[in-house]
Amino acid sequence: MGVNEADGTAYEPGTGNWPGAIKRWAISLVIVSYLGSLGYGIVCHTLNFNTSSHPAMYFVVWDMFCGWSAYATRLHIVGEGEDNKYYQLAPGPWSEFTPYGDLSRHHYDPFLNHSSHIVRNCLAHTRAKPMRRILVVEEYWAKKYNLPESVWTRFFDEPQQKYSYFQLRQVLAPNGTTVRRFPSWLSRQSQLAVSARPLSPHPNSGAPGLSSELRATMRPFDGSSSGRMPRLESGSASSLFPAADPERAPLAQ
Amino acid sequence: MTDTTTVRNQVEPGTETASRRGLRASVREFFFAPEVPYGLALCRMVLPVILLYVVLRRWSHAREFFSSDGASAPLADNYGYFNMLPVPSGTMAVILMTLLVMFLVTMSVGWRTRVSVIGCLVIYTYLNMLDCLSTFTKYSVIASHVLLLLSFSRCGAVWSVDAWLDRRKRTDWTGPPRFPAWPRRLMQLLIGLIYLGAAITKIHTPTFFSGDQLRFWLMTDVNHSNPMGEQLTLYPVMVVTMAYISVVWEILFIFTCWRGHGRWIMLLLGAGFHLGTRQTLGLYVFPWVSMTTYLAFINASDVARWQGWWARFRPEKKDLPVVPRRTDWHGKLALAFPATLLVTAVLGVELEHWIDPYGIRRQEGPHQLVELDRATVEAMLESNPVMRPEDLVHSLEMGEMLVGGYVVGHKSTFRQGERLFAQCTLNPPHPDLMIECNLHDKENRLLDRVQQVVPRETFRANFLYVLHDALVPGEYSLVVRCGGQEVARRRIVLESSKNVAGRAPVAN
Repeated sequence: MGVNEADGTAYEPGTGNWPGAIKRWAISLVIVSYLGSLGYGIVCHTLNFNTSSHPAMYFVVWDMFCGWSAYATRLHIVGEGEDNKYYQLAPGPWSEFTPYGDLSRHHYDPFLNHSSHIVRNCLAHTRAKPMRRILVVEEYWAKKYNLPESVWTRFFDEPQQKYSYFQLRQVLAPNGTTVRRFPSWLSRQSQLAVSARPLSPHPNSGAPGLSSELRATMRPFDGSSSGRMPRLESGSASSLFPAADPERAPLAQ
Repeated sequence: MTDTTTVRNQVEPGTETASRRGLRASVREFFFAPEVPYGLALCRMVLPVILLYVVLRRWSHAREFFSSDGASAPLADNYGYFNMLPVPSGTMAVILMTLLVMFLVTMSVGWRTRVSVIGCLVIYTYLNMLDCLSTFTKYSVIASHVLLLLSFSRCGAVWSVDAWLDRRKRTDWTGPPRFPAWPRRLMQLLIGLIYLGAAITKIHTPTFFSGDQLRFWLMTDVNHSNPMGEQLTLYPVMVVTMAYISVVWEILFIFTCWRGHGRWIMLLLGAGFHLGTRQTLGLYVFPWVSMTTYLAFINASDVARWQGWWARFRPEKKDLPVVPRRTDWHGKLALAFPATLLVTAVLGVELEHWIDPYGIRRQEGPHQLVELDRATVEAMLESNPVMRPEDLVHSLEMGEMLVGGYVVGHKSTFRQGERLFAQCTLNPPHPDLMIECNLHDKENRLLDRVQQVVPRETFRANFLYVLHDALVPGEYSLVVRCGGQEVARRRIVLESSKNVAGRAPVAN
């Protein structure tokens, strides 16, 4: 089997071994195509060009160290029932799966592209009460609070007291449709600081083109009258922050 | 004006053609030299074992992660290519996952190797691309590349069930078959280019070489626990040194990994690097998948050498009586492979139905949602979004000197006359800040005030105190204030100078 096959590719001009020559050309084409695609990824990555143009680029761009922020992040997906109670919608009550450590799956979705799927799946497979709306809340804390006590005492005399910031990131309708999205807390901090003027307000339920059902899901997060929406505009807008270094999804695992 | 005739005459006739032919011969030798595919056979055996760990953990969640009856998270959605791949039904996802498990097993043992490898490649890559949240990562990509290259190769020609069956069928078997080396060469180039790309990423990353981002990575806990990484944050100079070494190694790898001492040095450094990421960053699967590609650097002469070593310790084989071989089972065995796949798939579907991952068929019915404490949720919604000054400060370190911009020789007890370096590290992003690092005595009276402007692009503020004789021995505190508020405090002890203690009183 193998010996003949190996010999078959060992084409020498003038021997008349045309099948071997064709096979050799086909293999050369594969080699050139493969190395060309890897090389294209390296060039695109080096020149920061087309790296996100297609999912296939993820196979040839090797951005395993893409920057990590000084703040840890977690996501809380909360359903507000019509019975005025709050319910945990992720992880689902059936699952304790943690893919890479001790975090549930939904925490690895920093861009919130898939939260609506997770919500729909949870509501479809549980005895869920009718929901008024679903809230995706992001939690942040400084990573220094992740340090063990032995390391902390080398940096501070004060006791370690973790403090979290919360930011509403997304409001979903009961059917999982995204109604509103907000920037992350970290990028919001940067924007607030960089902007010398007050930032433009978030869209509110009075915006044209919204159905009455969707509009109903947005209350009471409009404006400041509710008192429940984080008052982001109260930040120190006169100072200038550098651009935040957003923490990417840990796809580089 | 250049005399082209003269230039042309400087080249000896035939030299250019000869060198071109030499390059072509070298490339041909590099890619097409026949060899026994021992290295790829090892890859074929090891990679499925690693992937089985990944796949088996997710098998019972196949319906949830990869099907339309769950919450699939296609990678293509992140790129704006919606519905690029069809999402299978729940049962089909279970069948595919079960077949993948089976293909990984048969690939590892080398039974119907080519079919098994292609099956693994297609199903593994397809399912991975349907779940970018909890399955698809860069190690998945590397594994897909390796599977692709193995599917081109004859990795089942040795150390496999296929090879064993083939040898039993043949009467003229003279030794392991040899094939062109190009799949192995591509795998070697793959890992070299991966490292090159990773080095480019690091070069692109601001503050990588200052160690700041690496320090934050060491205290990130989105992967498995990494207690050694957290301890390493105490030694930033070592972190910076490792950052430089890793980039230099990643760039050099593709140029020096081919032969001689360079090959072993690069591979051993790589193994140390990857195993180090397990301890410092909590990466469990990535190191093993990456190191699997190192097996492509094992060639036939290595195996011959190891076999020679092994032969010294192996007991000699006794001559066993020759048993006449039956050949009628070969035909039956041909059907065994598809039959095994079919039976396994059916059993997998049945088992998943019995497990009931969503708990829908439980006696008590589907699960209830977990109710959250109302006060906790409302606290989330009302939390103050303005950053606290104490969260702007990452650490306050004290030591006796600066190396590479970092304080070393950490201590809190000093002697008169010594220099105290205090370093306040800040969390990005932070505004332009005025930071004070003040010296207070035991009664908290302000003795010395030092202010420094820290621009937004700077992560560290350094303060130097010369602890002169005017300070009496005793307890003091360094107090860092930011925005008029105390954000950090470190206690220090000042002892009398050795010189002062031993100095004779001056006679007037």
